[in-house]
Amino acid sequence: MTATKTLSLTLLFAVWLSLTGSFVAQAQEGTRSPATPQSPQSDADEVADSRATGFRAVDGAQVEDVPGGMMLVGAYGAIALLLLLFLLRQHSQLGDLGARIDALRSEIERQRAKDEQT
Amino acid sequence: MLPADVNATDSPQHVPFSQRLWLPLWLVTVVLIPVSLYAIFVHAPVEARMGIAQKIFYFHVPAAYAMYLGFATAALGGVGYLLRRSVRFDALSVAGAEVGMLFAAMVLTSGPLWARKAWGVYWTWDPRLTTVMLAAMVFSAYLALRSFGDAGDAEKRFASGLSLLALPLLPIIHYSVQRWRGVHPTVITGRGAGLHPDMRPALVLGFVLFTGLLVLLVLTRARLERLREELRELHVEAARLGLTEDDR
Repeated sequence: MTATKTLSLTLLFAVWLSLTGSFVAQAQEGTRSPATPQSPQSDADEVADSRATGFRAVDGAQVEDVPGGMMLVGAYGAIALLLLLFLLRQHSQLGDLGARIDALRSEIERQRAKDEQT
Repeated sequence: MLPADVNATDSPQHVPFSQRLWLPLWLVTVVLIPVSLYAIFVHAPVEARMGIAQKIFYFHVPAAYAMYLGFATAALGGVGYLLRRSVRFDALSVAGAEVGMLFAAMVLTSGPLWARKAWGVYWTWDPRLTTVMLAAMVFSAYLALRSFGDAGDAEKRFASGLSLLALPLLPIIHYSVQRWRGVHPTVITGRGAGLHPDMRPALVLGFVLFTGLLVLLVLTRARLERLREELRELHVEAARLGLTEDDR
């Protein structure tokens, strides 16, 4: 009899524990703060949920959201344009500097010749 | 007396190695441009997932490599100037920085176009993208410093220090993909390039082409900087002879 009584009490306690546990878990779910530690399993579930997506079939002909051809032309065009602008700037600056050096050098030679005469 | 450099460059007997190198290198580079474009757009197959936009890769990666070389050249010239105070090293440093910035602009323009297709956004604060942007900003500061008229010795030394300061950024950019988590892909690794065999010639030709471009542009830009120095010396000589701006 004692064994039956002990077994019954144990079962009652187990039921009470499980009910209390689920009630507390439900209450925590509603008021969970970001700092609350979670088990690795619940973390994994959350990550999986955040990445959940759905697949659907295309309606009609397949169209790309981002046109790759335009991106390609844009990239190569920008590279060519940058290079061209740089080369034009170099060419213009080299020509300008060369002309200024030649002019100044001839001025110096002329002044030097004048100084030697006087 | 005219500056020694002016007479030296005019002498028909003395042709510097850089000038002798220029024409053959220019010819090779000009021939490589259509060959490289053929390899990219005709020989290399279209990538399965990214489609035709993947072909941005064949110029984007060599441009990044040329950017590394340009910035490294700037730092090398900076070290040379700090040790020797030579105009040639300073010219090399300025040329490296400016050409490096040109390639950085190519990388930062073509990269977002790739990213829009691959990641859905033009820009994200990925470690590699952020470090490239940081290096470009440091060298922009370098060029801004050098653009304030005729640079004296103090400005040149400061600019050399700045180029040296940016040097550690180069390995950080390179290894940022491996060390920190990001979204930037790593196609070329120590285990070999993750490329289809028919894609490899396009990439190799791109590297050769951009190396040629880098050398040509650095040589031309360094020559321009030396001419500026000659002009400055001629101005000093003109002032010594009593020639004023009005006389000229």
